[in-house]
Amino acid sequence: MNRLTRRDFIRIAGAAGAGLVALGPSGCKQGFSRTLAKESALGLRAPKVALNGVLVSRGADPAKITRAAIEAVGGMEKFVKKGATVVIKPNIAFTGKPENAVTTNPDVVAELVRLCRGAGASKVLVFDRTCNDARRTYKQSGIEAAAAKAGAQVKYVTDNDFVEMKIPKGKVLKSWWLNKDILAADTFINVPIAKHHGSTGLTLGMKNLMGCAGGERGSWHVGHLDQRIADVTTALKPDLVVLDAFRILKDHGPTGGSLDDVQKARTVAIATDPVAIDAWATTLFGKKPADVKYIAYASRHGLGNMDLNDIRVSEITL
Amino acid sequence: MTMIRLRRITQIASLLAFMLLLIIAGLPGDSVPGLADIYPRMSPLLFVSTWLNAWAFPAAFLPAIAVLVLTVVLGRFFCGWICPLGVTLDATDKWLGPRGKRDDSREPLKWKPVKYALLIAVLLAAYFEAGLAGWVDPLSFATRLYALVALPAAEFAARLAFEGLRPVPGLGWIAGELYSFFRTGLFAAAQPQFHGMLAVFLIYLTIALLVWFNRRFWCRFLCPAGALFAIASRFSLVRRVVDPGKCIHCNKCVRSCRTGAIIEGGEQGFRGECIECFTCVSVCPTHAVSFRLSGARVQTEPVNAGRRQVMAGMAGAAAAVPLMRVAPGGAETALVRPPGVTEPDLFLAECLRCGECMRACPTNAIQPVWFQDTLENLWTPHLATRVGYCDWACNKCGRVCPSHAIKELTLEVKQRTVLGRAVFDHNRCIPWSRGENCAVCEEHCPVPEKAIHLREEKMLDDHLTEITVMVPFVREDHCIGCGSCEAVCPVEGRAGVRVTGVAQHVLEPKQHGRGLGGIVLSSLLPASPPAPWQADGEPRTAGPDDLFVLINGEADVYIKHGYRRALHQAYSDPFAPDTYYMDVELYLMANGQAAKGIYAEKAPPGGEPAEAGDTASYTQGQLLVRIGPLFMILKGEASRDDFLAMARALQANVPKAH
Repeated sequence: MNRLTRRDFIRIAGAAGAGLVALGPSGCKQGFSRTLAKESALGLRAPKVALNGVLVSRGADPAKITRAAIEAVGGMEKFVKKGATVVIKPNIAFTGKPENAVTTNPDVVAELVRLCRGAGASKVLVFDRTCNDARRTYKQSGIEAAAAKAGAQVKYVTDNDFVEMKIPKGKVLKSWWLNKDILAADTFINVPIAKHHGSTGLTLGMKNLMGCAGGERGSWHVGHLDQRIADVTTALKPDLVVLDAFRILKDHGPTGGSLDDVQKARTVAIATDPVAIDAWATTLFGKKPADVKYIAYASRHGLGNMDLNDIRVSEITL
Repeated sequence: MTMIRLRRITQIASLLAFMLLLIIAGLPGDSVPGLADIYPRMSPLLFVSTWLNAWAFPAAFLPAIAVLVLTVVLGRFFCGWICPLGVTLDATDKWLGPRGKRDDSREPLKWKPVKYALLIAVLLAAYFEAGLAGWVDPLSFATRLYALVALPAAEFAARLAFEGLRPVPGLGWIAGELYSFFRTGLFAAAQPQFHGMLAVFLIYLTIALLVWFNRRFWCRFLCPAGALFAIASRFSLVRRVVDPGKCIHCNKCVRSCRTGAIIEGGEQGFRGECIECFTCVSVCPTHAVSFRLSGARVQTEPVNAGRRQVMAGMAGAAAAVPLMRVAPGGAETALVRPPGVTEPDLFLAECLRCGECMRACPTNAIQPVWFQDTLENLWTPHLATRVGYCDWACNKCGRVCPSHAIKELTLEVKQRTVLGRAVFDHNRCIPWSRGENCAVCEEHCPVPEKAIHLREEKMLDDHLTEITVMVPFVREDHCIGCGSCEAVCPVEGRAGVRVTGVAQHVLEPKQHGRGLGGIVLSSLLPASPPAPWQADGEPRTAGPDDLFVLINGEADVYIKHGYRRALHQAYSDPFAPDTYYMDVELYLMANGQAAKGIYAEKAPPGGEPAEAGDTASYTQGQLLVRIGPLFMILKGEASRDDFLAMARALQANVPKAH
């Protein structure tokens, strides 16, 4: 054995130490990063424009019926000012192709991007905090390609994109990590797809807002999922809800998988009242608004109207 | 350009290519280039070992044959120029080893290289289907080292750097963009972690620190692939040639040879030990040394080994093979293997323990086994379903496996391959134990018909008030054991639902739809049984885990064939219940194939075929019937016609298959 000098020992110990440091923490359970900056400049969202009721647009082409719906309520200029930053938040949570009705229709998303750009938006962000690997869900849903082609900035969400905010109206969810881009955006458009869901019965617009939340969302499911959905909606009221019901998932949601469960409803609905649009959407599945608890809880929060007799539904067919 | 510089460049290029291929194997894309796993397939040791194990020519290892052929011509260049472990050792030799002048010719321990003994041991073990090779092969070890240790550590360091730069004005934006690119293009989705990565690091560190005895200690004394290369380069056409006229016997080359291939005097040597690093060429003061095509005899012995090594190798194999069957942690595990492991014993022999599949798995679910099962399982892959889950839309592991120990399955087949079964722990699952709704497991279950369903259950809460809770249960005819449920269960610590491994089998396509898999067995029993039979008592049923309650002692035969559920109903003639009686036993197997298997096992050789179901066989006192995945035994004191009448009555209740 060769002679070990003190310098040699330091070199070896340094290498071993560096290795251990690199491996030790990386071998630990990765918790949600707590090194988030407290940014007090951001406030909870409060939409400015209110539409009366729900506008339902039907036809064979998802992009055309989306455009027709927006134009029927006065055009995207009503919601997007020149130079505005827009966040379009589709449902890209699980892996699925467009025909599986698991993720939002990519043509609907792309058309909304085009409409926002047309209204003069300076930046249109498209993202979701997914459940499955985002790189796969973004690709298989077709949303990444379609949105990027239409001129959007497709973003992959990291832990650093969230900031802990108090939710003063929250009954169960008093505070949570919410997406910074959404809080800061000039316009926030929620673009859910209508699906069956084992826990809540259906996943529609307000449920889609879970994708705007950071942290361990699994804990939301324990006991009071529906109340938490209503609570987070008080903090993240979208400026516009565009419900994709071109294809809907009738059963075995939200992951789906069988084409037998997909129904082509060929519909896109828009509203600013998040409760009303979800209440209307329950009829697509032969249900009533009262069947989906989070709609009732949201109504109790004063977020909107769930009485189908009272909601004005306008229909256009292409 | 000196040969040494050329060698350095080639080494660095080889290491970079090696790392790049591993990174590519880990990308989320659905296609994995065929070359991604080429490095383990270049090892002649793994080639010979796989050949001996499987007793069939492993075509995947053609690159290894090419390397061997080149070695016969060029000598043991692979060790000096290509081997990633060799490159890593050269680097750590320099950084961690002694500085200044040294004499590499000294043999610290006065014994000949162990590597020949190890080679014999590995090959003998392979012949007896014990996969020792993967543990000691340098390419397998290098893959393990980089996949489990080096690349994750590098990713972690890069993430730390990017996070650290974020708050820096100006630089922070660039860091953010670069980080975005890395995260989507190069890194795994989340920081990869592997059980025991620290131990693998320490093993490498130990080997690297052997530099304090000699440089390239591993290559010189321990590497069995090196031993194979040494033997193969015996008659190499390219040789180290010393011009006797120029050689002044200064022994500078002897002292600087890192593998001890040159003998005192400088002219003779062990050609098999030379890894063609060209150091001797550069240190020779009279430029007497060169490497070229030559037929000159320049060695005393081809390799630095003797009979003792062979004997030691045989003894080693004899000791190792039974030792590998030892289970230090008790063998209670039912490991969940990656999809494509249809024959567990063959898998254990063929698996290279390289870790390519672990690198490829997008959810970080595939982890190395340590001591959970027999020693033989060390470093083989298993699905740690709490860490990750088998992604529904992914079949990468079978594609990257260099030895096809994990068979490549099409996505469609993989989605029907049962790896294990989810089982709820009613003491930990939140709805069952706390009376609060949850159902994250049901939400994430990727099976189209859902393998987890919810039903209403009334229970008492802590205040003894009756509450209604939606509790989850497993539909074992749909569950493929992917582990999505266990991975997302919000319970702290051990999950409320856990996957237990089973012998992998493929469900028939109908099973994942409206086949007979969901059938309620009691609905098959005739509402009015054929005369004179009347049901004797209630039907007794058994689920997947408790068949032994119904059949004492024979249950494992059914389970082996893919048993799902069972129902027994006794019938008797009410006027003579002790004289005339019939027991109807219904077994729902996994699929038609499984039912055929148990039917073939149970059918006695002298049975006569009967007209019932898909196939039926009658012997005195017993009628066996198979209908699709259903296997029925009707037995007792009754006539042949009685049995057939009952069989047809049961058959009439079988729904039309889709």
